[in-house]
Amino acid sequence: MRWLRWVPPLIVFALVIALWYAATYVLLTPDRRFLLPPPDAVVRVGLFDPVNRAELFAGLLLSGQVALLGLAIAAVIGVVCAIAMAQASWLERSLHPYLVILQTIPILALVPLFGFWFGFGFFTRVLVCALIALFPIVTNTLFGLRSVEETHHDLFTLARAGWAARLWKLQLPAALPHILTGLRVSAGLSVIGAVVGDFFFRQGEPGIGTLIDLYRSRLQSEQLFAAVALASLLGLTVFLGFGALARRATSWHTAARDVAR
Amino acid sequence: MWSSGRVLGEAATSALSFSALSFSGAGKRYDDGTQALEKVDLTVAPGQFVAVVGPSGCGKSTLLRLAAGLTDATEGSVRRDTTSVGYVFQDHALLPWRTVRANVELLGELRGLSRAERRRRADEAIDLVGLAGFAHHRPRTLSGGMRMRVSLARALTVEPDLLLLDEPFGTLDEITRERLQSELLRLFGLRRFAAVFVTHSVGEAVFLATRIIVLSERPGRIVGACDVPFPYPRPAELRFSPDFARIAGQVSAWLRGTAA
Repeated sequence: MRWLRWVPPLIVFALVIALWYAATYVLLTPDRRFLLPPPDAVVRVGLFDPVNRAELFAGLLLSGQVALLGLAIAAVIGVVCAIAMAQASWLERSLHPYLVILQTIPILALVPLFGFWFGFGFFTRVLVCALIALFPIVTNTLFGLRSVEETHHDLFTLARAGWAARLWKLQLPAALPHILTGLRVSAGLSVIGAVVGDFFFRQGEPGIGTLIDLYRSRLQSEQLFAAVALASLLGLTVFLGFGALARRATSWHTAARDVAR
Repeated sequence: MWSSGRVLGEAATSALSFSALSFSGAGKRYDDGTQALEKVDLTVAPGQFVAVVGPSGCGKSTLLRLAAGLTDATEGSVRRDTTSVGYVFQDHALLPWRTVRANVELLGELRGLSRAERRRRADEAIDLVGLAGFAHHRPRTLSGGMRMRVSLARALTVEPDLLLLDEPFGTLDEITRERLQSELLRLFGLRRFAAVFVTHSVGEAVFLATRIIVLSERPGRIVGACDVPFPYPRPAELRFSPDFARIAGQVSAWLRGTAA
């Protein structure tokens, strides 16, 4: 009876669609209906029209690539930073304030500056995503490395383990659930960075965010809705993907199972 | 057969006979000023099973950490004359992401034994604690008693001549606890390591040990010591014999003295 738990969300989904139709056909007069086109028109025009579909999927692919590459770079730099900070507390004391600043300044507000310096190309888009995604990975990894139990450290000390063995066989495995939690948070942020950052990029290949801005200015509301839905789908896919990864990789860890649900 | 007077003679005997572990006037004061242990004289001969009994927070764990070399004495000295020390932690300290076998192989891995050798030692130790069918289980799927068996097996892979046990059965239920006590004595009979077993249970100490040391409340110092004359193997019914009750009564009296 596992399928039964899908029934309540499906009912909610049906209700939302029904409300949408009601708003389109009851609240809006035909001349204002472009503000909220009916769902079937969004699917028909946005996804079944071959030209629109090609444009949307090309944008989605580009934004997806930007988000994942930015995330990958943030993951490598973030985990390495956290390991270094866990080994040397002076390094943590020196770097931590700036990580907090990095987290608190609105990175998206810096996008025009990055564009000014590096141009509005692929590199800058990836850079924005990597900067946005960095902080949760560093803090979660650092927390994970520190969460190792004292007796486990004693066990390794008694066996005269070196720092590499301690890191590789104790700290990193213990931190893995936390690293994956950080990655999942960062993945969501990275997708946001890719889509919202796009609003600033008028040149080059259009990403899904560029298209959203374009359709808005042209009042192409069916395409606009389709683009928004696809951007949301990208975020959702990344979220679910990392959730599944966390569940598989850390089945031994009870807390991880709760987090990944 | 036992007397408080023997405490004073402890240092003298240690000078005469070969010992696996000896404390002379050892004390430990932590950086925050807490005096955990004070003037502890203790010798453990090879093949001897010493139980250390005391109220909670009396520095029993500190005594074991000193014995293992995990921390240094701030007064007096601790000398170990062993080639290999095994340590069994209070909370079993198994790595949850490793299977039973991988956990038991860990120490060999860290000491750089060859894959074949550490596998051989691990399988032997797992057999010895009666977990042969569970090599591929993860700790999460095992009961508390089985986890403690794994922890014992891991300590045995270093082929210890001194085994230090920090309240290993403290969190187990009575039945599992008694079963594991007999198991431990069986392993002790097979491997003839010297053992220091920290516990707050008087019955456990009398059932297991050849010698019992009683510690006072913090700062922990030795307030009583006695030999336990029962030969091994010790049957479970020993717990109900008059001699057992007499020794347990004496140890309890020392413990009550510390609480006053």
